[in-house]
Amino acid sequence: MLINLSCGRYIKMMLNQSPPAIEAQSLSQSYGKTTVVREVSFQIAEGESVALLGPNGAGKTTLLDMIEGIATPSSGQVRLFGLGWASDAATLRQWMGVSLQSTAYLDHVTIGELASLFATLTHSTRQRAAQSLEQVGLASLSNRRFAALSGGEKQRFSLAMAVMHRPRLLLLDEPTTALDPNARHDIWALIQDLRRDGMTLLLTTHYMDDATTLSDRIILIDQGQLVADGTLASLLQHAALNGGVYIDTDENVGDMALPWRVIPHRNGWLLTPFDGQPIPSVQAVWEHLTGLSVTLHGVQRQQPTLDDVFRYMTGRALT
Amino acid sequence: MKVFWALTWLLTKRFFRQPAVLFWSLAFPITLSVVLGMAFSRPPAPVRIGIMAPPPFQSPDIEWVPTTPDQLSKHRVGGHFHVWVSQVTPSMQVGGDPSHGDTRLARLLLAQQTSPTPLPSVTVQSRPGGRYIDFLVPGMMALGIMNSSLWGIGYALIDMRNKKMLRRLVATPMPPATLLLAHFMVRLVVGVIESLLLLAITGWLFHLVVQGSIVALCMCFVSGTFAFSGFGVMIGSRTDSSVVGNGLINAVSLPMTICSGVFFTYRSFPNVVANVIEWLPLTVLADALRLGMTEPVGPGDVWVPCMILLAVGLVGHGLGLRWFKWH
Repeated sequence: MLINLSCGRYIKMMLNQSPPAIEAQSLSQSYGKTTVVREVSFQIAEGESVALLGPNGAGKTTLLDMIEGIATPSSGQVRLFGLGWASDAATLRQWMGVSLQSTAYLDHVTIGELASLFATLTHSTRQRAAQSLEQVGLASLSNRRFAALSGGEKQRFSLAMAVMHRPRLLLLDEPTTALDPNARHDIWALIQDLRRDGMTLLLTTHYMDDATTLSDRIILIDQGQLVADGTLASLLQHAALNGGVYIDTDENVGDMALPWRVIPHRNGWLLTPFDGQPIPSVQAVWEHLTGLSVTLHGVQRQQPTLDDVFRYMTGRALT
Repeated sequence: MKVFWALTWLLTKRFFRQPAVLFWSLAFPITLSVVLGMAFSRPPAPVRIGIMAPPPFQSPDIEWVPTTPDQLSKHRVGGHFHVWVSQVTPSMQVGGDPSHGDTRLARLLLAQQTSPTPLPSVTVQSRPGGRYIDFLVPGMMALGIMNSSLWGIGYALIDMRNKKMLRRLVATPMPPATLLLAHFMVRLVVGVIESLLLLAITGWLFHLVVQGSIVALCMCFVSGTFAFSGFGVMIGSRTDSSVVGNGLINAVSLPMTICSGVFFTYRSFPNVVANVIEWLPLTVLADALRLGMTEPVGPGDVWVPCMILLAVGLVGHGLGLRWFKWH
C-alpha cells in the first residue's frame, strides 16, 4: 500500500520551482537475484528534515548509499539539488555531510588531528575544525584518541565532522543507535540546532521517537519498498488511527468479528474505529468483549504510534 | 596536493605511534639480520666427524668426536656430527648422508689427508659483497618492502573498510585515488627509514658497504614498493574481513618469503622450479637490490627488473582499482 502525502515545504518547493534537495526516482538496487530496494521514489525540499524509518534490513542504508553516491542504483536515478552523481560528484560531495552509524575513525590519532584532517578534506579551515569540536562539546577532549571516547562522544564527534564544512544536505545513518538516553538527548539537541539553521536533513532510524522528534516528515520503508510518506499526523490520519483502546488478553481477538479494526499491539491488541466512527470507550469495549466470553487482563485508552501505522500498513512490527 | 600531504602526514604519524607495528617493521628485520649475520659471519668451524677408532691424523679443519656403534644413533640425532668414520684400517669406511654438505666436505678432507701425493695448493681471493651478510641484507630489504606494502596497504584498507572509515572518507570531496597515493607514500617513507636503519646497523657491525649507485638502489626501491602496493590494493580491494585479509596476505607473501632467495639462494631448487621463482616479484626485487648493493652498477644495470616491477605494479593497481569497493 503506497501513499504519498504532500507537506507544506514540498508545495512551497514546487511553487518556487527550485530543485529539490533530494529527488529519488524509481530507485532499485539488486544484488544477484535479491532485490534490496524496489522502485522507491520521493522528493525532499531544501531545508526539510525527513526520517527514513523502517525495521532492520528494510533497505534504509542501501537507499542512503545510493543517495550518497557510493552505490550506483540498478535502475532509477538520484538527483541532489538538481545535479547528478555522474557529472557533478565533486560539487555534491562538497555540499553534503555524512555521519554514519558506528564509524571507527583512525586509531592512534587524536580527535583534534582527525578534525584537522577533515577540515583539509572538506576544504574547510583549522579554525572551523576547532569550532566544530567546540560546538559538540568536545574541544576539551581534542587530545584524546577516538577509541577512548564514549559512545555518545563518538557520535557527537561524527556529527561535528559531518557539518564542519557547513553542508547544504546532511545524511545521518542511525545517529542514536546504541546510545544511552542522555547521549541520545545530546544528539537530538545538536540535530535540532542544525534544523533551526535550515540544513536539509535525511536521517535513517528504526527508532520511532527519533523520527517523530527530529523530522518534519517520515518515510516508512519495508522490505525495500516505500510504504508511506508524510507527517506523523497525516500518517495517523491516513491510517485512521486517531485513537483507540488497548486490550491485554491471551486470546486471539484478531479472528473475531468485532465492530472495530483490530491491530496487534505489544502483547495485546489495539481496537480502533472504522472510518467515520467514534473512538470506542473503555467501558464499551469491556462490555462487548466480556459479553463474548473473552478474558481480559486490562483495558486502557491508547494513543496510536508510528508502530501502529507500520503494522496497519505492513502487518508487521516496526521494532 | 594539500589533501594528499595531510593524509600522508597523519598516516605516517599513526605508523610511528604503534609499538607493535614499529617492532615488526623496524626492530624485527634488523634483529633478524644481525642474528643471522653473526651466525653465518664467523670463521668456518672445523667439520665434526664421529670416529669409532683412534683418530688417524690431526687437522685444523676436522674436529674428531669419539663415538661407539651404540652411541652413533644418539649422537646423530643430537646433531653432534653428520658424518662418521667406522673403520680406519685396512681401508677407511665413512658413513653419512651423501646429500649433506658436511659429508661431501669430510670426504674431500679425508681424501686430501690420506692422499699418497700432495695436492697443489689453492689460494682463495676474497672480494667485497661475497659474504652471507652481503647476500642477506638486500633480501631483508626486499622482504621489508613486500611486508610493509602488503600489511600496510592491503590490511590497512581492509581494516578501514571494516570500520567504515573508507566509506566516510569517500563521502568527502577528496579524490578517492588520493587515499591510495597517500598509503603508497607512507610505505615508501617507512621502507626508506627501515632500509637506512638496516644498512646503518649492519654497516657498523659487519662493515657492509653499498657498492652500486644510490640512484640504482632508489629505482629498485620505488619500483618494488609500487609493485607490492599494487598487490596490497588488490588484496584490500573488496573484503572487509580481517581473517580473509590475513589469509590472502599470507598466501601471497609466505611462498615468496621462503622461495625468493631472501635467506638462501633459490638456485638450490631444481632448475625447473628455480626458473619460475626467478620471475616472482620478490625475487626480481631482491636480485636487483643485491646487484645494486654488491656490485659497482648504475641505473642502466637495474632498469630491466625495475620495469618488470613497475609493470607488476600497474597490473596490480589496475585490477585492484577495478575491483575496489568503498563500503
